Amino acid sequence: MACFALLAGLWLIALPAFGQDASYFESQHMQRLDEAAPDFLLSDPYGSTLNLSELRGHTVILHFWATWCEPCRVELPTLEGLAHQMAERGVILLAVAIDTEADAARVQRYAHDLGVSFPVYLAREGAISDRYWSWGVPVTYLIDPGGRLIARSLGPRNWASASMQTLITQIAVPVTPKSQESISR
Amino acid sequence: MNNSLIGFAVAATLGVTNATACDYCLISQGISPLLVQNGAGLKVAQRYTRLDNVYEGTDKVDNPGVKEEYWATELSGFYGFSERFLVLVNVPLRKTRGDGELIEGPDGKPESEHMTGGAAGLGDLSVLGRYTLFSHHTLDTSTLLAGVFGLKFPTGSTNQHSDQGEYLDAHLQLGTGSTDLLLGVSANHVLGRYSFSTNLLDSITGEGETGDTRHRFGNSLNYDVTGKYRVTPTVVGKSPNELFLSLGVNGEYRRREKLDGDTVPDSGGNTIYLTPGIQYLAGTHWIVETTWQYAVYHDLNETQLGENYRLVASATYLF
Repeated sequence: MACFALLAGLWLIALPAFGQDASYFESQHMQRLDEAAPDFLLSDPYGSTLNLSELRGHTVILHFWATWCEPCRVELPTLEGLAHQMAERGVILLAVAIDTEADAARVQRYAHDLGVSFPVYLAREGAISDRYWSWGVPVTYLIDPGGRLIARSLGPRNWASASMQTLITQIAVPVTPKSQESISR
Repeated sequence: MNNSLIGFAVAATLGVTNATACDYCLISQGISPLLVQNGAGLKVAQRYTRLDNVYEGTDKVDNPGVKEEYWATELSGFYGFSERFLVLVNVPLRKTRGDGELIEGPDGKPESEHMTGGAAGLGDLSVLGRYTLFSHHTLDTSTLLAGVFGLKFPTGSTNQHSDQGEYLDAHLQLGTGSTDLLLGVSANHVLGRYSFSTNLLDSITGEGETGDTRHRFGNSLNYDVTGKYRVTPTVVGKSPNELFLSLGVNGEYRRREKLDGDTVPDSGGNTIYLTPGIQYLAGTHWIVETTWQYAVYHDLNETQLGENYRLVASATYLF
């Protein structure tokens, strides 16, 4: 019995590590990363600002898109359900439009028309490195509570799928919820 | 035909070229070799190859009037079963045209023997798999090393005739008549606006029937090193369209061929190309590109017709 308990304990300790193994992300068509996420400043249409460093302790889904990006148009609404479900686990979704011509109001309206209720940010109104989206859009990063980039997803995907919810659940560390509303307004 | 006559025919015929039915070479050379792609897609490529220079080893000599031309339309489909494993199928439609056959004259110099003709139709189908052996990604870079393996099947006809009613030379046939094993490695490194790729693809050939002879093309090694630079946009943000320029060095080393078991001395060798190219990503689904593979170095065994250049244009649709 003690042996079983020991094995179970080891399994629980090893689970988070296993969950972030390169092969695990590859099985989800993601690239494993392991480096500090460059800090950034985002500004929403209401004048609130947000630093990545303020989000320490939370798992962050950092998603880049553009209004001219056709696959983004399909992908963005799939983040809607995920954002609500994961908010209670302390997972924060930051959707950043990289448009250089559309203004913040137009970007917000565009997202709203797609049924998106979470706040969207405009990259050029903040201070964020274009290194994040030099791969093109859509591109999505997973950032762990310690502020490290742990995975990158190139291209569109269905974030509402069960496999994505499982993945986010596994990498999310339960913390006091910080809702999308509270970080943006 | 007895062995001595075969031997005479081998010795007298110099017209073996270095441009064989290597329809899969395209997938290991060029600015966006499919071997470094992921996901799923379809590609249509058009290639034109011209040979009208004669070489003795590395020296260019007078051409007595021999010319060969090859057109290939290649249809490729690829599908990534996972982030690591991708399968690719290549179906070539070929057209060949020969004008004259290189023979050795009484004074030992190359002469042209009257021959005209060509063929058109399905070439040799090939199936390849790519497995990523190593990958390392950072915010700014992506590095992949993959192993490649596959088979080329003898789906192309090998009994086409010339206008004079003789069997066409093996190189002008639509296929090689053999099942070949393909093995290779592929490495790719992306750094911001720059990307570098290198590919090696080894073809281990089998023996096939060509006309009324047994023909075995020499094993070959295709190699490629290509650098690519995103000219525009400098920063992604305005539109999904991107323009790249590329420059590559690639080539093909081929061992001597065998005809009815006898080695053909005037066969095999090495050809190196300098390959500038241009690539345009139109939206998120389309890639169009063109390359010009200009042969800058020949080292052909004995006397052979060598390639001048290959022109390649392609369109890829990514799902």
